[in-house]
Amino acid sequence: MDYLEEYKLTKDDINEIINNIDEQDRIEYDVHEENITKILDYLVSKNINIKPLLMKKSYLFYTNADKLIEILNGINEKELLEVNNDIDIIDDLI
Amino acid sequence: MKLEEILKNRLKTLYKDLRRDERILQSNKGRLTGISDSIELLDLFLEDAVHIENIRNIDTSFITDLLLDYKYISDTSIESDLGIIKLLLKGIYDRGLKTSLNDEQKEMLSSYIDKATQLFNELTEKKSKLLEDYRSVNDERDRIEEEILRIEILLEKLKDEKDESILTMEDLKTIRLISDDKSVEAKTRKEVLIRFVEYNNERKQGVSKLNKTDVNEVIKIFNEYGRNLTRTINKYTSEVETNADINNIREILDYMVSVDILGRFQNAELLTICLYGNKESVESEYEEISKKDNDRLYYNIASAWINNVENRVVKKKRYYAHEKGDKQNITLQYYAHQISREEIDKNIDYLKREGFEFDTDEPGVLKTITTNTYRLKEAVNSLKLYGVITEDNVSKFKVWLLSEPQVVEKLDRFVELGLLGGHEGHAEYANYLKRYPGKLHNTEYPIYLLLYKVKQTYGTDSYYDTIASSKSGQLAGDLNSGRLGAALYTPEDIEFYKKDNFVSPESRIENYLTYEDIINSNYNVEIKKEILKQPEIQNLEENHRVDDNPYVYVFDGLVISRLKVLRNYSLINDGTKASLMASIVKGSFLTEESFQKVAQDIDYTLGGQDGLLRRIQTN
Repeated sequence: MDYLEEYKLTKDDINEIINNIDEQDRIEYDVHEENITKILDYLVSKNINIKPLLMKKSYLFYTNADKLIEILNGINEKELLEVNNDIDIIDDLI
Repeated sequence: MKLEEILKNRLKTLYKDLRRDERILQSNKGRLTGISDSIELLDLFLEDAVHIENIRNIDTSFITDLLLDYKYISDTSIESDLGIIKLLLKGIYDRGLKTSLNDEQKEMLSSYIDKATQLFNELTEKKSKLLEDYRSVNDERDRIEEEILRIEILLEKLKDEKDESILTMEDLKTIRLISDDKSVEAKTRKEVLIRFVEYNNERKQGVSKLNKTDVNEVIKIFNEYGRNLTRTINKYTSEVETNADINNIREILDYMVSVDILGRFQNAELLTICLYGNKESVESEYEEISKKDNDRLYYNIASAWINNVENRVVKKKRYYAHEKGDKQNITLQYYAHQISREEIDKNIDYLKREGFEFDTDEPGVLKTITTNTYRLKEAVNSLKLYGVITEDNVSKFKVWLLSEPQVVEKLDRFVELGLLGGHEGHAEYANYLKRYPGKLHNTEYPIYLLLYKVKQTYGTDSYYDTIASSKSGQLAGDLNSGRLGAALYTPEDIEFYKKDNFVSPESRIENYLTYEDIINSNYNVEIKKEILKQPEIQNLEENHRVDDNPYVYVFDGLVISRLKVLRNYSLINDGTKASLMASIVKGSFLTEESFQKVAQDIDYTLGGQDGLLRRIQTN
C-alpha cells in the first residue's frame, strides 16, 4: 500500500491503518489501487481527512469510484466537511 | 507437452465434468423434491381415505391435479363429481341425513382411490430410482473433486520456485489418475508418466525449475487487446512471471472479446482472472452472470470468474494462497480464491430472505456479500439475538456492518461495558449500541481495553461520567486520547497496557489455550439446552442473573455477557471448573481483582503464583 504515501501519509500512518483494518480490507486496498486512488483524489480535493476514513470506514472504498463520487457530489460540501470532526456522520450521509 | 500443461488440460476436463454433474444434481434435486412432495400428499390422502367418511373434509383438488398430470385420469370434471359426493357425505355424517352414495358414486370413489394408490406406487419407485441416480452422480462428483484437489496441489508444487523436492509416491498417485484413465488419449497417458520421471531427474540434477514468463510479453498481449495493464503487472511482477500462461491469457481475452465483456473489467480483475482462471471458467460463469439483473457487480469480483466452484477445493486454494500470501506477496492469488460466484449468490439470497433491503451498488455492500458465508450468518444471527437487529429495523439496517469481523465477541464486550443489554440502569447508555450500531465497526481495539479498565476501577457512575460526550446520550469522540488515563496507538503501547492492567487467562487457567482454540474455530455456535440444566450453570442463573435479563450475569458489580458464557460452555464444557472459568473470562479484559472475584464465586482455584498462594493459604 505504498501508494498511500502519495497522499502525504507517513509509513507510520500506513502501519496504523493496516493495524486497524481486517485482512479483506488489506487485500482490497492493495488490489484495487486504481479505484481507491480515484476516491482518495476526490476526497483530498474536498479537503476531507482521508486517514480516519481509510482506517474506520473501509467499506466506502469497496464502492466503484465513479458511483461513490456521484453520491458524494450530491452532498452539501459543508456537511461533507463535518466528517473531519465526526467521522460517523458519513454513514448517514451516503 | 510439459507435465504442468498435461495437468492443466486435465483440470479443464475435470472442471467441465464437475459443472455437468452439478447441473445434473441440481436438476435431480428439484425433481426429487417435487416427487417427494407429491408422495407425501398422496400418502396423507390415502391414509385419510381408508375411512370413506373422511373424504368429505379432504381438499382433493391437489390429488386430482396429480392424477391429471400423470395421465391416470383425463376427465377434468371429476373434481365436480367429487364435490357432489363430499356434499352427500357431509349430509350423512354431519347432519344425519338418511341417504347413501349410489353404486356409480361408490364405483367412482373406489376407482379414484385406486388410481391414487397406483400413482403413489409409481412415484415411490421413481423416487427410489432417482435417488439411486443422484447418489451415483454425487459419488462421481466427489471423485472428480478429489482429483481436482490433488491436481491443484500438485500444480502448486510444480509452480513453487523454491520447492526443489522431487515428486513423491503420493504425487505419483495423482499422476496415475491420468495414466490409468482409459478415456484419456493413449499418447497422453504414456507421456504423463515420462514427464513425471523427467521432472524428478531434473530436480536431482539441479536443473532450474521454472521458465519464467517475460512480463513485457504479458503487457504486450494486453495492449494488443486494447488494455493497458502496465502499472498493475509491474506491481505484481513476481506473480505474473510465475503464473502467466500466454496461451491461456489469449484464450480468455479472445473469449471476452467474443462476448463483448473485456472492457467491463477493472485492470486488477482482468489480470487476476488471466493468471488464475481459464477460458472454460470464464465462459461458464458468464453464462450464469449474464442472466442476472445485477451483473455489473460481478465484474468487480475476479474470484467469481475463476474455478472456485467447490468448497473443499476453494478452501484448500485459499489456505495455500493465504499461507504463502504474507511471505511472498502473492496477493492476487489470495484474491483469486476469495469467494466463489455461488457463495456470493448464496449470500445475497440469504440477506434478502432475512429482510435486508439493499442494492448491490450501494457503498459497502460488496464487502458484505463477499464475506465468508459462515461469518456473515454468524453476524446476522448474533445481531438479532442481542437485539441490535429487529424486525422493525432490519430493512433499513446498514448492510456494510455485517462484514464486521468478530461480531459476537464485540457484542459481548458492549454488553460487559454497559453499552448493550439494558442492565446498567443508565437509560442513555444501557442500549447505546442499538442506537449507534456503527460503533461496532469503529470502536478501535484500544478503546475496549481503556473502557474495561475504567469501568472496573472506578465503578459504574464515574465510568459513565468519564466516557460521556457533552452531547447527551453520546460517547465522547476522543476516548483514546488520554481521557481514560492512557492513549494507546502502537501495538507495543497496547501490549504493555494489557500486561500492566489485565490478567492473561492462559497463565492462570489450566488448558486455557486449548479452550480458546476450540471457541475461536467455531462459527454460529448455538447454546445447548442441556447446558442450562448443568448444576454449575444453574448456580450462575440463580445467583448472578439480574431481573431475568437474558444478556448479563453480574458478579458483585462485574458484568459478564451471559450469552457468551452459555455459548462458550456449550462448546468446551468438559466437566472441569477450568472450562467454566474459561467460558466466563474469554474475550473479557479483567483486572486481577475482577478475575479473583469470578474465580472465587465459581470456586475455581487459579493457577499461577497467586493461585498457588491461595491454595497454600486455604490449606
